[in-house]
Amino acid sequence: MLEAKFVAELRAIVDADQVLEKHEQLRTYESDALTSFHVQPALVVLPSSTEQVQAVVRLCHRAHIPFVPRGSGTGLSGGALPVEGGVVISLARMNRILDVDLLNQRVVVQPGVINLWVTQRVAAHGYYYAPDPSSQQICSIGGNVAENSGGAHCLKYGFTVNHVLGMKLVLPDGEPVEVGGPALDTPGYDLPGIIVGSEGTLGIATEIILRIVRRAETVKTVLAAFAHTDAAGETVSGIISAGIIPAAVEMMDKLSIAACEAAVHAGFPLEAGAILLIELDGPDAEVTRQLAQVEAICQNAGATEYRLARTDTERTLMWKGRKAAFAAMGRISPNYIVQDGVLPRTALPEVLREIEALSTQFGLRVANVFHAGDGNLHPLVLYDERIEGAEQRAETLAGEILRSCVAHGGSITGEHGVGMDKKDYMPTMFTDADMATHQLIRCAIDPQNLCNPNKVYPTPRLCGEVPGRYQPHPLEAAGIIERF
Amino acid sequence: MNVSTQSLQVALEPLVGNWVRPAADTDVVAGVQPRVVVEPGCEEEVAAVLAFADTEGLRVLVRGGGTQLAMGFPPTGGDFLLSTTRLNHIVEHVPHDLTVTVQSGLPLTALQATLAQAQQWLALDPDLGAQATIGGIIATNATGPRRLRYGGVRDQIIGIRVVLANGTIAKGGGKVVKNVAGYDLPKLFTGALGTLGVIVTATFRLYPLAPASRTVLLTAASLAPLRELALQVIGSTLVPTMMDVLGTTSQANTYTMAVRFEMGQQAAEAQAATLCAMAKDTIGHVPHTTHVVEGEAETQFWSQTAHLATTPQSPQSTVMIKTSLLPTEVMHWLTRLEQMCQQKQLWANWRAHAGHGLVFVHLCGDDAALVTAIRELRQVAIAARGSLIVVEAPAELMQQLDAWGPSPALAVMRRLKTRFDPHSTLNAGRFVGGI
Repeated sequence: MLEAKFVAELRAIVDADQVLEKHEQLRTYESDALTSFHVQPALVVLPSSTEQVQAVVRLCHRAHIPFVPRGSGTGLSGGALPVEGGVVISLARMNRILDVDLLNQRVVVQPGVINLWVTQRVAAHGYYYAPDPSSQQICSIGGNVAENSGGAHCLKYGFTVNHVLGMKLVLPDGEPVEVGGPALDTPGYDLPGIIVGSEGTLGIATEIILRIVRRAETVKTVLAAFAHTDAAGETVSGIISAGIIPAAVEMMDKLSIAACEAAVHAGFPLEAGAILLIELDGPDAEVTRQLAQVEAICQNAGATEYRLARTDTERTLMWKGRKAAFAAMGRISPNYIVQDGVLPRTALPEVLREIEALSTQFGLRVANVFHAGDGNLHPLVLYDERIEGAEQRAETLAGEILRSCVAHGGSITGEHGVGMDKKDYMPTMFTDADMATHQLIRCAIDPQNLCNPNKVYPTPRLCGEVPGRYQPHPLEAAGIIERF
Repeated sequence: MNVSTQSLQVALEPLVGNWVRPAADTDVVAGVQPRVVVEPGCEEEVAAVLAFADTEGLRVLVRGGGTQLAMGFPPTGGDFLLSTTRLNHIVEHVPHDLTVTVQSGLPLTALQATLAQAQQWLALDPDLGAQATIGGIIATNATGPRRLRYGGVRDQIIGIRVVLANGTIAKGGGKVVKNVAGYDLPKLFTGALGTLGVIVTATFRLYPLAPASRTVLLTAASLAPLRELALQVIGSTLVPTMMDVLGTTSQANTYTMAVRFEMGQQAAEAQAATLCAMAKDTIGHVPHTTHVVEGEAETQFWSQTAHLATTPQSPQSTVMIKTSLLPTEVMHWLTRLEQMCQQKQLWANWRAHAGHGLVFVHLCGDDAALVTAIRELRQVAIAARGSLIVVEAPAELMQQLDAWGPSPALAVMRRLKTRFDPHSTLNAGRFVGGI
């Protein structure tokens, strides 16, 4: 439990309604969207300014209290799981868009701003914010920064890290620092590059500079159905081989189609073994040319249906069907685990066969949804928790899928993060030396391991004393350059 | 550390299978003469060499193709030079996955030639010599005009293997484009100027080569209308791969704006035509010329442009600077540059990537005038929320200039350096704040 003195000092920083201590208030913060992990924090604080975040973090640092930053709590890897006896710092009240600079295509936001708000704010001017995780209606930019969130359009437009230019950051000792900036290539190490995707372990971003993207002249979305996932996979390879980088290519298998249809009625063909949603965008003439190629590739691969969205409504409905996939599983199974693995595109057919074999072996159904263009797989392992041992079997199966991805040269996570959930799988990808090296970064920035501790890596590296001693550069000694 | 060339050579030879030689004059790095040059042939040899240096308190300089050795402060020491030239293999190219893994000493030009056979390329086009290596390009964050469409090194690199000063071999990232497992080591090493470790291999995402290309060339007598046009282009549905504004003090009041469209032929032609119409509407009120080039003429134009002509015959110093600005600020800054050149009698030749805001300038003139001018121009850039670094300057002039300028996050950067290379074994003193 927290000492009364600590709580009193914390209450002096913020208003009474910005501190939550009651059991029933704290329950909301026990877990993120990965509910299998839950820990009640000692206290939740909801700062409303950079200064308040600084003061809270400084206090935690001084008192040696671990703290966990939290956005909307939609994370799927337990990244926002509280620490017992620790503090949760919710950024939900820092939700203002601070600046919109259309000419330079920059938007500055506070971390609690919801992903979709950015696009809504600039849409009338023909712009949008490219990273579009399925949870974009509720997930926050701060959370996106922590997780390096992706979405369906990553293949062409990249991830959060490609759209964050800089930020105001409160370091784990409470010191504020500006990293990156609105212009490219700020001199020095690429700090925004390591902060984005560090899963909230290297500090708290309180102002984030985002890049927005001009909407393309033309966007075309196609639904193509196939008898089997192999033919769909072949189509994806064919499109890439033809030199086309689609804005998105999504694949769903039979079980996913059934679930999504039940939930959204998007008009997906129930008899298909797999469908692809293919989106092309760009200049009119270019999209027309590529669309003809895509159609030919689909037909050659034996598409049983090829449907071009004729209107925005049709297009939106196709996407709604796809984005509902996770939630839709509730229609066909009492419980499910969302997995997030990545494999090289070329290994797709093989890994799918392995998943099928695992499904038979474990006696559990697996529905497959992929960002097929970038090899990001979201198998959904279906189970019924009322059946003894089913949950354990489902978890083992989900883990085996990750091993299969890694064995084919892929990754244990493409966008959901390692968090609490997957840290024990890190050694399948990285050696001890790799992980010890990565953690030099944390040792440099959070040597006391207070900021979202014990996430990402299975064993925290002991940081020890700062090695060596700072020696002034001769130019510094001569007064030509300065320390800051 | 005071050791003889001979004893150093004897100590290093067993570690690298005799690939050690006494350093020549051509191995000088920014005025610092290393004693020997070591050329390891694999990452284990790199590790052995670095571990030896780190234990013995020796300073190591790292070199790829040697095209950018002037970048940064002169090193504060350099007992030997580690050259990556023998690490020059393509480890794996999987065309269907649009990825490639390469050793760091491979020249980019050699890589592009191989990738072109599969109609692919690594989307990096820095304006450097043919010897420029992958490792050097990552370490210096070298990018070119197509950054407008494809992003920079940080946007292409997806995996890395490095050797730390103490000989630890470590990897970060992986072989797949989408991957968020672990801290992003590839980005940390991008632009770190070899101060955190030696890059041994890297994995990149690739792009298909465009089937066709058109370039619109515009000339105008003043910068203001070009600014207006450039901003209109980036705010439109046009998708140029390059948009450069070129100028030189040798030819006052003549500016060329070159905008390239690389895609299918029909679309490229349509986009070029749209731009010409846009120019007519936007800057029709001022004298200008517009024409579209393709084929040989287009290739020739860009290859001439690619190499910023250095100086006129002059005994005076030449300096190259890189300024990073918001797109709206580029032309204002160029105007200040011109005023400065006039005041201080400096010669300048510049290439401004007007769409993404990076401006490269060759300046030539009297040393004292160069120093004051660069300081002032840096202030202008910083006031506009940008930055200015000195990419190339004679070693003695670099001493008087702060190569990197101020960095508000310097304390964090020092902490990173201290953890990765506690004895300052690697490229000592060269980076921001003398890291």
